Amino acid sequence: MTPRILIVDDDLAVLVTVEHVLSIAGYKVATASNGKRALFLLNRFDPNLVLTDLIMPEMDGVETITEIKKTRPDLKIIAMSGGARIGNGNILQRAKEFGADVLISKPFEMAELTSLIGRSLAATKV
Amino acid sequence: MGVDLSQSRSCGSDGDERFRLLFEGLNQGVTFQDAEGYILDANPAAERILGVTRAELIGRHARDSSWQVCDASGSAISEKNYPGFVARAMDQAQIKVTVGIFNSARGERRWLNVDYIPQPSLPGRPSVSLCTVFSDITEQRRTEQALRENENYLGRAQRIASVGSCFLDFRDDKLKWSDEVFSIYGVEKSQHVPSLDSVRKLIHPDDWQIYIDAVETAREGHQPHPIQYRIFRPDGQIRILFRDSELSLDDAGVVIGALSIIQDITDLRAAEKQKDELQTQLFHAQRLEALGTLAGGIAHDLNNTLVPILGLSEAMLSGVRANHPHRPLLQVIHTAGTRARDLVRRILTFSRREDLDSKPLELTPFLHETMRLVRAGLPANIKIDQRISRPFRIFGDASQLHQVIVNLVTNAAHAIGDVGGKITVRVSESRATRLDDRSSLAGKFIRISVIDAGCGMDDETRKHIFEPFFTTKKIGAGTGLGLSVVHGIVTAHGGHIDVTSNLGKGSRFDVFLPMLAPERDVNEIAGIAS
Repeated sequence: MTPRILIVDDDLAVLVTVEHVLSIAGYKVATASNGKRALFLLNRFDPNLVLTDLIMPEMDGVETITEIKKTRPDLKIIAMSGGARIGNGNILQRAKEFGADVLISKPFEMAELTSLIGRSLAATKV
Repeated sequence: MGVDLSQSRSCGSDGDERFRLLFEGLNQGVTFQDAEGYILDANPAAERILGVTRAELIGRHARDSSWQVCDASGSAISEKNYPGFVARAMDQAQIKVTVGIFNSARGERRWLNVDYIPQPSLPGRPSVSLCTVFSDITEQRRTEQALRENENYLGRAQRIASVGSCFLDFRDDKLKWSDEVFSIYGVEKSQHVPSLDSVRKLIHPDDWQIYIDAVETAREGHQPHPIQYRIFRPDGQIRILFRDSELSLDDAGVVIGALSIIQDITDLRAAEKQKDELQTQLFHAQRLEALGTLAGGIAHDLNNTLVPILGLSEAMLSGVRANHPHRPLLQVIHTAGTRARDLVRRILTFSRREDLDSKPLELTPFLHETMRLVRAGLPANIKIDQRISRPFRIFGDASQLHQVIVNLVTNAAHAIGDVGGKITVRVSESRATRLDDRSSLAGKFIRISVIDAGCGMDDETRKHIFEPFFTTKKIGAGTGLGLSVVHGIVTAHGGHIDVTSNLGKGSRFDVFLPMLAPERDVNEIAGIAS
């Protein structure tokens, strides 16, 4: 079964880029530009992995992650960071606090992203 | 003033009558005493002043304990010092003696001004030996005392405020100074006679005109403006004085002089100057802070923007065949995107304040290792003089501090240029204190100095070097971020950085970092730092 990846980011250019790259890599991809749509697609699309930005208007990344974790605690979440400051301290640590499993900094090399996704998915499989 | 009774005797009954009128009517008290000091007679004024009736006075001793006689200072007078006794003994009037007596009618001590006049013994009045004439000066004395106290307060007030008063009388050009003015000018009252000539010697020659112009303005009857002028104290100090004046007029409205206050404002001016400097420093620090925040905000958006640029160019590069005509163009896009990404990373380092991975760091091995790496990248004609021998410890992020050293040394090498030269890196202890000093754990600082004898920089350049994007390098040769990043890292460590430079001579960068006390427990430090 082709793994399904849900990408959540308010920046359309980022969505287009990551969708393109992941499609070429062989994944099935759905995109959402905000948290509300992301939760909707959680049911409809039933992803195996979620890749989400942390700072978004309306329902921000943290809230989105929290809500996802409620309904699908098993789902692997990769958080993307643009480098904005989220409080003090180590940003990786903060991401983990938010419920993300892994953090990746923008801009990332595509190879870096696909290998990270591959590893995360492998870890999910029992 | 002796009342020679012998004269009155000879005038017969007229003389007696005149004498009696005088005796009864005088405003001053008069008593007659015998040789032992017993009172023989007293006039009505004496009764009034002493608060005792004539009947009671007659036969009372002059130094009776009820009088509680005392001298001007309030001390009891011994028998032989008693002015009446002295007058008789020396046959010489003791006049204008201030004596205190207790007035029982008023129930208080009164002060008298007394003349003690010895009387020669006469056939008709053999027993009269002394005549006293006196008046009550209590009120007068009180007024004098109040006046003295007032002057005393005024003098003290002037001293406390360091303000003196001075009066220039235009009628004779005489200058009158209060004590504080002597103090301000630093001259002895006993040795210096104030006058326009003598004060000229004390005033800074460049400011004499200011001083004398104000004097002339007053002399012409116009209110002079307050002035400031410098003086030389005899001890060599230069002080700045403030003078404000007011015209003094006589009853006819004619200007007769000028009354001035003189204040030493040297310290005030120095404090103002320091305040201005601190304000500038604060403003500068705030600007850097604001720039940092701005940079941080922009960086986030730029990172997002770079995702499609780098991501899609990378995807397309792997999607096109090796000899595709677009391949090199895509490569250009990707490379440009990579450069942009690195630039943004450096901006973020500059704006990031607390994201340090700090640990206790032994400075000596750290610097040796860093210098070893840096040296490898420098041209052969640049020599490094390392003076890092004492064991110092700091609490810091090794990789970020590495960046600091690399940056400073690279800059120094650039300043030296092709001719070659020497860079000195020295570590010493310091006790620096500054306005943004976050107190170091041990109260001390380590100073890491990077010194070069390169091209140096002028004052204008030096003011801006820590600003992001400020660079003196040619376009493309440098981003101008290096030193702003250095500044950010050093500040995040609780330290600060100073630079001294002379155009054409070289520069010296001093990085101050809080020193770690050797005995401190690591956990304790982590507890403080978080």
